[in-house]
Amino acid sequence: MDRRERFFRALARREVDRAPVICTGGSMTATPEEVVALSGYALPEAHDDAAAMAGLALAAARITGFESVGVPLCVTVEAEVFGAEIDMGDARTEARIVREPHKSIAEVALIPVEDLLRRGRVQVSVEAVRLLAQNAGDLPIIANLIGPVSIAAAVVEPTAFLRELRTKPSETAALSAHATDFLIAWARQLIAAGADAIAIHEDTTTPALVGPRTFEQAVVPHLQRLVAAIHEAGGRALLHMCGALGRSADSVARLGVDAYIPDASLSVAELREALPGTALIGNISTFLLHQGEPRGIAKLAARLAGEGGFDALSPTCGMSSITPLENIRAMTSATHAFLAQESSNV
Amino acid sequence: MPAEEQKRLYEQLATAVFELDEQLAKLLAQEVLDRGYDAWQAVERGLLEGVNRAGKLFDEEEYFVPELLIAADAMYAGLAILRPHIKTHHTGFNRRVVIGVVQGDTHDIGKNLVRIMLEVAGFEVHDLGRDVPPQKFVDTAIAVKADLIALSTLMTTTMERMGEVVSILEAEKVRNRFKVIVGGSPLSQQFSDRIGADGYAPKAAQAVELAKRLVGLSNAA
Repeated sequence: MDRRERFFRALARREVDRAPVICTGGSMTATPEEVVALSGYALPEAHDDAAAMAGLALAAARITGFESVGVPLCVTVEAEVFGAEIDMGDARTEARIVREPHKSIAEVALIPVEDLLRRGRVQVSVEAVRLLAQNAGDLPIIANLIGPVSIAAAVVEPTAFLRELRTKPSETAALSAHATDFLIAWARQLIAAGADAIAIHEDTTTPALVGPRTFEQAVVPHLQRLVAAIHEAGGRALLHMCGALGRSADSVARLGVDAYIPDASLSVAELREALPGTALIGNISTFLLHQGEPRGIAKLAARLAGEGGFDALSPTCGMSSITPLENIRAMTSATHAFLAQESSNV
Repeated sequence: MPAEEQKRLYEQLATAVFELDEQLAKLLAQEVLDRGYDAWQAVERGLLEGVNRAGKLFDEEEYFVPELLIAADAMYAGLAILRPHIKTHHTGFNRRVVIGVVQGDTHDIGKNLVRIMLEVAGFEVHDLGRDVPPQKFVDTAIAVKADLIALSTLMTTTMERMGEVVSILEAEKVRNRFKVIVGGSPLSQQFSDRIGADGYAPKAAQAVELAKRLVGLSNAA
């Protein structure tokens, strides 16, 4: 079973020889400082150069043992094309939004999607996927997008935007729909270039933050349309959000994503009940990865990959840039060790 | 019965804030002035009461961040009308907080909620915004003679910056002048203990209780 097949089977919740250990990239960084140092590439340069972006993503998989490659390596491509000021950071500090372009939804003029696709690093990321398709062998390729309404919350200053989700629902919906149009067009290019899956990172407008009513009315319709378009283009759709699902579990179940990547506070048992038809990817605590010991990490990974566990393993959020490589390797090699142990018991 | 009417108007003001009606809160605040009622009581029993009720529903997960922000807007709109008429001896209890999101992180929604709740509770809040270098927290706290430094981050990748603030306070031998509190979804009490902070709160309302306790104002309003 090669790594792509194992990944696809895990997403379909079909039988696998062992759970794959992946890391999507995007908000779930696969490139801590130590990995970058060994890769032969540098940050922030790799954020802005297709060959370096693909090269670093591939080197990260080789160095860490993660069984996927993911680009972009940051969460700022979308905000940048919509006009936000970005600090590209370095190997220690993640790229981040310095200033959103607008104080209120009332100021926002919609930029045509064709123009957005030409801006910033959108085509860099598409080209990086194309290079990975040539060079990544059997590693599944994951392209990362920020969720449409979270993008809208990076176009308008987020605290103002959250108010306006309630006070100006039709204006905010128009911006979110426009962000969705952009994401659909970009996702089609990424899939055509060779992406196997699109991971959507809904990093601001989560059920825990906006509540079940606003999530259902203001977020779900856009995510549903994006997920359907990803499927139509032949890609798998993964979704990552922070926080509890609470009363939004049904809404999330109806999105139709292939896999859900929760945060560490949620247990696999409650997630299975909330999202019965969805593969689950998780849930190795990023604190443990940063501060734990390899032994404890390997034990947890083996347990989470075992009976009644996750369909694929992954860090549960963005790894701290000072996460020791030794700990990441303990996680990625644990399922192999587990498998070896299982077969020796037969 | 003017006392009854006065009470009813304050209650209406609280309800307007709680029900997120900024226009009504402004109208009622003006009505308080037109009738010659006490502006501070209208703030305390009307506007602040309304936000506190919204905060309670937030803790009970009936209200979420958008609702709490809009309730705070209604409160601030009413406050802008009433503030010029408040007699000075009513303003706060003279405790100062320096608050901000640590360097490397620009997620400031949680910090903004805590700022609102601290202001409602009567603290003088100096908001440094987001992506704030550790040294700036220390310099500002010294400059404004703060009682408390409140640090926020949403990201696992930037939590360690909080420890740097504590280290700088120690290096500059001013650690005992300030209480340091930390908050943000990836944090925990253990994390707070490890970096040598004075306290952690998982939610905005609890952050206010913690702040009051640490500056010796527990149970004080």
